[in-house]
Amino acid sequence: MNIFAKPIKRYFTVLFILIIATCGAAEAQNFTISGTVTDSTSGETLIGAAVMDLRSGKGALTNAQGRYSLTLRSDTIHLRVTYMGYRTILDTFRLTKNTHRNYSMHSSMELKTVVIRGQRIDNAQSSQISAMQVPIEQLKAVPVLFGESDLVKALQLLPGVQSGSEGNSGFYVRGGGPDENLFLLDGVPLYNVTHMGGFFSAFNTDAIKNVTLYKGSFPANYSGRLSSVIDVTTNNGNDKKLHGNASIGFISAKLNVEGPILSERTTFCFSARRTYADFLLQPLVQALAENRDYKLRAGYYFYDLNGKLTHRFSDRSRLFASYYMGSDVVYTRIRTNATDVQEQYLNFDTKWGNIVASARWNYEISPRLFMNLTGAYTRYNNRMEVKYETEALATEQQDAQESSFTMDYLSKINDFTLRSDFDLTPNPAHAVKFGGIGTFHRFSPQVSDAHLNAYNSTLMNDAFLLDTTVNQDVVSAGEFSAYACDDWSINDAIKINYGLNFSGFAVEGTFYPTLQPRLSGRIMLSDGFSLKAGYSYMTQFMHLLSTTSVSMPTDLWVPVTKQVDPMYAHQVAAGLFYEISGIADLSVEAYYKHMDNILEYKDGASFFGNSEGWEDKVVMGEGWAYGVELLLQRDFGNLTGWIGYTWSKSMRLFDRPGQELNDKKPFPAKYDRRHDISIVLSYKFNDRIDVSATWVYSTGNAATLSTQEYAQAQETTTEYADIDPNGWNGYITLPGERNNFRMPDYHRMDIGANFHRTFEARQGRRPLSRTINVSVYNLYNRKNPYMIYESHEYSYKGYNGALVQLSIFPILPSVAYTLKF
Amino acid sequence: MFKKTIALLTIVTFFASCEKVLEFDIEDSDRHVVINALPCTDSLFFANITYSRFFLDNQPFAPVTNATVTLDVNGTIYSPTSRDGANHLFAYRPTAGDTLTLHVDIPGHGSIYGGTRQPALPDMQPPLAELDTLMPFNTAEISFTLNDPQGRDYYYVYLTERDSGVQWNTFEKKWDTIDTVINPYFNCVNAEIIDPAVNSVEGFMKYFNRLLFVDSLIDGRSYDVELSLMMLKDTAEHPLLREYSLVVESLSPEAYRYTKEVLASQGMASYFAEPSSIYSNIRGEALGIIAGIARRHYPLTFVYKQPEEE
Repeated sequence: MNIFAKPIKRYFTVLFILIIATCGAAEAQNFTISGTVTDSTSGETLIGAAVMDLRSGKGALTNAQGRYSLTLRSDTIHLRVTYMGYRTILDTFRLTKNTHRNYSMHSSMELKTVVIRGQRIDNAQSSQISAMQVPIEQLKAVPVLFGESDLVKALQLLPGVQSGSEGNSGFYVRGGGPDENLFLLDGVPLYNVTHMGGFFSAFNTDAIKNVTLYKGSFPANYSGRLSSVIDVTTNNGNDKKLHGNASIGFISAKLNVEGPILSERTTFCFSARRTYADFLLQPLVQALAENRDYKLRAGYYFYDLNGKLTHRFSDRSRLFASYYMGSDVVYTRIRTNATDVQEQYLNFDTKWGNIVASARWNYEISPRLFMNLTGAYTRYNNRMEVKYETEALATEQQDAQESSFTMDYLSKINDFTLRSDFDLTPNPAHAVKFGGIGTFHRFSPQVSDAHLNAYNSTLMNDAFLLDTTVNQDVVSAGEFSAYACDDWSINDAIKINYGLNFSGFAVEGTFYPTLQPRLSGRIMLSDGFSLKAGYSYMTQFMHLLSTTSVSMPTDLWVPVTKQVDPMYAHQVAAGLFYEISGIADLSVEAYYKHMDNILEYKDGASFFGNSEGWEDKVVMGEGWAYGVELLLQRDFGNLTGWIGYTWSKSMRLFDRPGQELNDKKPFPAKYDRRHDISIVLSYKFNDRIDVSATWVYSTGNAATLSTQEYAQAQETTTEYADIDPNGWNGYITLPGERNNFRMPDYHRMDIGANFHRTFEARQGRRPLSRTINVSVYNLYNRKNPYMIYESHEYSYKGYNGALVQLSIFPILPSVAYTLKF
Repeated sequence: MFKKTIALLTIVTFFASCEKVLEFDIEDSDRHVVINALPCTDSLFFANITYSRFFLDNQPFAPVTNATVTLDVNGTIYSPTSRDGANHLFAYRPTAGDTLTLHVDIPGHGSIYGGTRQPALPDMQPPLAELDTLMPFNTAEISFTLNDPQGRDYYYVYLTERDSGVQWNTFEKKWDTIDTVINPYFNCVNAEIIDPAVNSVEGFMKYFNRLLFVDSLIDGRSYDVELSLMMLKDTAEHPLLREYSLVVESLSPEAYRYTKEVLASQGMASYFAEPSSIYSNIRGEALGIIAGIARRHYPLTFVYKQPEEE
């Protein structure tokens, strides 16, 4: 029935024939070396470690499970294994049959040697463009708000990635919107990636092993978002011994424990984080309520838990079970003695967050074929409850009435996902990936319950009852994706990654299929100097309905509908990559992205508290973004960090009939910024002290400023005599062009220092080490704009109007203490 | 206590220090001419003609003093009898069915005009106002039946009262007594305004609770409307001691659209939205509205609600 079935089958057939034909051509008297690369201390698998035969120059990178597969001619093999921050391993052996070899790498810090640089995805050798693997230790070293290391904020410092407003974890990649980023936690999508309205991200860096950011030229195994993929892998757990760390900072405390269970075959890793601002601010809350006729208890906190169990059945088979739970909680309790006979209670509770549970089985079917089966459950929910109660104090009084009113608001998404991924390495020239993903979504947006019960406490007769539920509709949708891609080294100079992704979304009896080609490649111009280019086509089937630029619990994810089509994006990118020998890596990349069916609110519309009929409040249009990104990065030696610069432009156009905005003229996107600079530097003086500093600069955010107002029509109530000709009857704002105004430029410097100390093990106790982190956010106290509002103040000169800028974070020093055991 | 005060002061100082007035070089773009007239059956006609203003000025809107204004009513031309500030007064009281066209000539702005048709008065019987004291709150219910004027005009209902102690509780619409929807704030556009210009008695302000019927209610059918008021027994005056009246307007299509868009632009959701253009039916180089309204006032007399027999 599906009209796309035949062409898609044909496309995939052609792709497989191409892969098989090119693979077969290189097949002759070859054997495969496969295995896992791990950290010698913790047993943790290492992602992206480079395994290379020095004689033939053929090599492979370890995958997300730390596995590699390398097929070579029968010969004497000189294998070199490298990974950033680890000592290089050289292994020589005779290859006469398929061989399994695991490598356990020693940290260079542990061996007191010079740090050996490792492979990054974005270096000159890889075929991948617009991607970056971020070393987690470098990420943790970046000084941030309240000393709380933050994955998303560190990624915002990379070229091509922009933050939202001051201190916010908003994420805007290459002119895209905040909902166009796919955050994957161990391969499972996460909907809510922020805490505290976006000031902190939902990722506890203690639990993270590896982060890969894709800004374009997405490999075919990723789909579902237009602008970026952030693939986060968590720690498996130390298989040698129990160890961990505990830290206490300005706003939160964290604990991370990992180790073997019973034997090296089974390991666990558990991380927890909770803020305690609600405890610290209680005196202030009490002060607010002091000498008033009510008692107040209120607070806010967030927490997240990460747990992972890993069991190794054999070298070929592993099982992982992961769990993540993160929530934000706001609570208010007010108790009032309203009268002599009644007490009143008002409780307001809001809780929102994610739960992700997944089980994954890795199995090496053959040395060249590796399988990954995953089953996952994701839940995002937001619950608000308001409860008002009056309680009779003196029941003997006839009119002591009691009542309770409860209002419940619930919004949630449940996803059930099954996916299979296969890695095939037929020969060193090819690394093939193929697989499929199926997700069943259940959206329950904005279910509201109201319950009212009023009765006389003495007579116990119900006076009034209300029990109603509004908007119970559950929207179910099915999403699937099948993909195949091949990373093909055509010769020493040319390498390409080509693939296809076929995705589809079924909702409300409508099916949206898309076939998305992906292509990227590199040409080595000389040693360490390459030219890369890539193209990708992406589709997105979900939208985030958001009221403000700040991440709010009322933000709602909704699927495409019959009326609102999926979003599409074509992106091309090209760049030069140069390894400045022994100094740093330099890259210059240019991109152009065209987006279709993107949404904007109609003039005067928002989703404030109510998404009912949301399709009528939005218009669909197109957008385009282009820019140049420059990155100078050094990730080895005592001085590490990067300097990034982005020149970019992002525009929107809404000129379709009935969907016009801005008089059908193009206008800048809200986060269009011409210049974006970030300088991130860390310097390690010795094993006891390291320091870091960050400076960021960006062009001010765009905003719409309407500069003219006019009188609202005045109506008589009885006769004209009621009218005051100079009376105040309100005014109407005459809209200006969209985003016609620029806020002041943003710049800020943060510094931080870590002081480490190791305590020798005594009397059988385990050795301890501690780190004291001192950091200062916004060192020179720059008043950066968070928002701008219009103020009208009265003075002896009359009413004075002014634009007032609100800044929220002045200079903020913070201290954190971490104990490792 | 001292520690708490210090903590409070520290936080207040912390955030207060984060505000600063910005000096921006913003151009004061050209002013627009604005012509407003909402002719109503219970008042003489007047047209308000002003200039728009720069958004930071906060001065009264400057009147246009050199405008030549005429009013065409069913082919009869009226000229203003006087000018009161920005208001041009005419010796004409609108009546149902009149067709009005306002012409304004301002040197340098060319010909400006706009027109409307006066709607018929609302077709309804005086409302029934009942008071229910059995509830935890005093609840007053006002019920009436509106006969739709064949879909030509739009109804606009609001209540006036002399104090702020009363709030809308529910707005229940009944369609031919079959359909019942309890969801007042999402099914209608409502707003509360304070208008000091309409003080009625000894400095008391009148508060208006306005309910503008949604488009779907303009269906050519008659329907019953119940409005409920709620007030706390302990804090509010007894409602029988107050003066209330129900005001029902029928609006011309221009007035309906203008009122709806103005009310929406003043709602809470608009703070999070990009500003929208408000409907204007003034042609030429000007903004504003000319839109007819017909209004009835019904003073309310509350009676105690009789318990329903089981």
